[in-house]
Amino acid sequence: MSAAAAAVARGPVSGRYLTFHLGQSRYAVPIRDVREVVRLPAITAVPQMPAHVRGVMNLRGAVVAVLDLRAKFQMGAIEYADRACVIVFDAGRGEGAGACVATIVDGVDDVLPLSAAQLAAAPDFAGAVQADYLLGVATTPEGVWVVLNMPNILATEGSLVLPALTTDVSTAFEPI
Amino acid sequence: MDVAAAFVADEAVMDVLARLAEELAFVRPDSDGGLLAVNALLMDLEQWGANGLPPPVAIAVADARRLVDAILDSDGRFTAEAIAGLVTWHDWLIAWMLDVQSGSPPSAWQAMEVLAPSNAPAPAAQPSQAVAAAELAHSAETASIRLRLPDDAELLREFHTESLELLQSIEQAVLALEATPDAPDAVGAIFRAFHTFKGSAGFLQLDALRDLAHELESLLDAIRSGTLAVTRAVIDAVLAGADVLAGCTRQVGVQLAGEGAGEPIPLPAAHVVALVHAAMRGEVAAVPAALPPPSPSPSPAASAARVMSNGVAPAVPAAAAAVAPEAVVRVDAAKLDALVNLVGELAVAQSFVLGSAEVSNSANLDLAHAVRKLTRVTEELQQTAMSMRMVPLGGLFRKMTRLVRDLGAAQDKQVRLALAGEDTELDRQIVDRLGDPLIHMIRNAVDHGIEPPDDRIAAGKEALGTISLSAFHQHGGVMIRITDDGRGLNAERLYRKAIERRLIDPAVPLSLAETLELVFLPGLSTAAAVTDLSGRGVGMDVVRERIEALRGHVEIESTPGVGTSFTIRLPLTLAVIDGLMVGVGRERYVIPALAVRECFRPAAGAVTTVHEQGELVDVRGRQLPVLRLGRFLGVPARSERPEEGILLVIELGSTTRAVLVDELLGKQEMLIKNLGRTFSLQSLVAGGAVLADGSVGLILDIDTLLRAPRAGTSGQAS
Repeated sequence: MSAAAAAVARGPVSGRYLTFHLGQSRYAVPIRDVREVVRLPAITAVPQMPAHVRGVMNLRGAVVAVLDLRAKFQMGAIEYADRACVIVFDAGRGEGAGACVATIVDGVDDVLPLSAAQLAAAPDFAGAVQADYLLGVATTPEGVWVVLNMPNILATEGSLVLPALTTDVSTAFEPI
Repeated sequence: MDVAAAFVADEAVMDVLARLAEELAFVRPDSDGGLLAVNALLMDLEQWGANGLPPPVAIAVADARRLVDAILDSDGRFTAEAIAGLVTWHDWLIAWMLDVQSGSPPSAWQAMEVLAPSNAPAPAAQPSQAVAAAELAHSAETASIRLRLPDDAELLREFHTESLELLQSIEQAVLALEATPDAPDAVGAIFRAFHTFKGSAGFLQLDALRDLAHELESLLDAIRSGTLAVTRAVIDAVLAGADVLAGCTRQVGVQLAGEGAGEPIPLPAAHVVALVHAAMRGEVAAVPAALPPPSPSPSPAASAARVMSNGVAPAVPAAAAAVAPEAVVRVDAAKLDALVNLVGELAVAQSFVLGSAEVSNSANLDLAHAVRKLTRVTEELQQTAMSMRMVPLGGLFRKMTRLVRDLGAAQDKQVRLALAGEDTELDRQIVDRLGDPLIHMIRNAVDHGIEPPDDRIAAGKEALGTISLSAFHQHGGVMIRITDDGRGLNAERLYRKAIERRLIDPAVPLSLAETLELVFLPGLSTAAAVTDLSGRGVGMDVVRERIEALRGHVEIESTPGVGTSFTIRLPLTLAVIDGLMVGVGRERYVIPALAVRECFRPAAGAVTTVHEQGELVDVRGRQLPVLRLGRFLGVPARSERPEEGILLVIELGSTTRAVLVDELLGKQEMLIKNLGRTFSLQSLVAGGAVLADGSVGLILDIDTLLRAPRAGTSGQAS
């Protein structure tokens, strides 16, 4: 892991974050990981792949894998509605800059500027393994977001268990 | 006939020297390429004659052997000094032979210091300094320069361009000077041109060239300062000098183009210097008649150059071509890839336009005309772009010639490589990645296929083994075949080993072809001894993997005692696939048309279910196993009965299978897109293609379809 990546892994840094939701759970990802957000496209299913791999989509001529973040996080499947869209992430870890992976989410909410004071490292209860997938927690007067480490999540085969964080359990976190 | 004369007259000696020259032309510092061949050739030379070599040659050859031994004992890589030493040695030997032939007293071999492996002096410095120091007018010795490629490539390119301009200006100025003998502008122009030449050559450490330019510059300086008048002799000297510089510049161009880079470039400057000196003394050209003209001069360097080109036309015609404006442009490979990709996108967009209802239903004739034209231009553009990526296989094949020679020499085997179809063109990307597997298979053929000469003779074969490497077009792809006439594979031993290592089930009987296929299993090698040159870590399994990564296929045939043959089938390009679109249920899939022999709707009852074998279909007397694509992929198909669907006969090598789909949707060229890391572990889908409607079509992997368990043999496939 590079020095920069190691620094990131220790916790979130202040900057702009894209927020989205899966059901009631609210998540944030550093905007620098995000290549773009597009409306739910036509997705070609790839046979014999695990449930969280939905298939492939055409992103302006490039073929991009589409993951179902709900399935990846072992949340119940839903029929995606109008607000559903895909977030295209740069998955460029040791691959060319062109390597992207898209994930379907229920809906994208906002781009939030978050200061260091609003960000805390991943809480202990997340456990050692899951800490790899969480950058931490963001708390603002509007609510609480789990900040995801998307490059690590996308680099992991199979599905994951993440704390489905709702405002109810946000009291579990100690704001800085 | 004395020993020396016999040696000189022996054609075998000339042949060895020519091959040595060829090897020396290709060796590179810090590389071991050619070392074994050079060593073997020197050994050949050493063993010449019943009573040994002529004494001076014996000493020289022994020196060269010591030098090569020293390299073999160290890290096995040539040093620049060693190469220079060997070239000097070779030049000396050629000169010595010419001297013996012409009856003049041959020069002695005095090269111990030249050939000392560690502290040999720099190559070019010797002859050129000698040239500068000696009174050249009385020496027929030809200096030479040696380009430092690829280190100086950029500078040499500039030098080459600049030299061409300078030579042109000299020529024009000389013409002006002939018309008006005291035209000061012309004199100044020539002076400056030679001066610039001198500076550039000095900067590039082309000492002999610098010295020549210096002589010519001095001549012009004398005219410029008024101490010398422009005479016939002066103009002759300038023209002769310009000719030598032009010849040298051409050679620089040739080497920059990649031919014989690093070879010494002879600079027959002696007669020019003589002319210059004569002109300076006010003499008319009596000197050149006394001196041999440059071209037929049997000077060592010139003849070395001739030998090095090994019977092929000497470099000068090629040089002329290099100077003439070439119709060849070098393009960055990445740019070319980008162009091909863009053209592919264009083709997709074009077919989208073509397929849209607004266009196809339009009554506008102008629009229809424009669309037709767009279609035609797009197709031509695509073909042109694709052809730009194609390179002939010859370059790769010729590298194998070297490999075979080196390997054969190292193992005391006599092997020759016969090439055919070198002109066959393939996508550059494929040719680039074909090198490793090809090297491995050729090594296998030499190491394990070709027997030692004694064994071959005992088996009633010629001592000289032959490996043939050929390429040809077939079924819209390219076939490459590697055949040796060696001992063949021991199928029985393969089978035993595979069982020993629990790679196969002893209960399942295997056909001969299936047994030979075992060679592609990881961890199986029948080599009695692992040679130092092949079989370290990589096996035929890796070869197959590499070839399949190129969407290719490799098959083996072997007959004990007669030989082994590998056939590789490759697509013409990695970028585009001729895809057959099929429909299964609500899904569409792409099947590479290259593998599809025929498609037909089976008659009712043509597909029969055979116990333990699943469904079979009779295709002109052949019973082919049927794979229901929908069932295999887990997609509900529309046609439950075979006669409602279409059967595609797919074939790869000797495996054939019929694939049942619901319908055929069309055939089109598609740009293959990598699916990315997410799908790197599956082998079902070989890639994606953006279809005309903007969605992604999946290109199914033929090999997976052929190897898929047949539904019905063991219950349900998926």
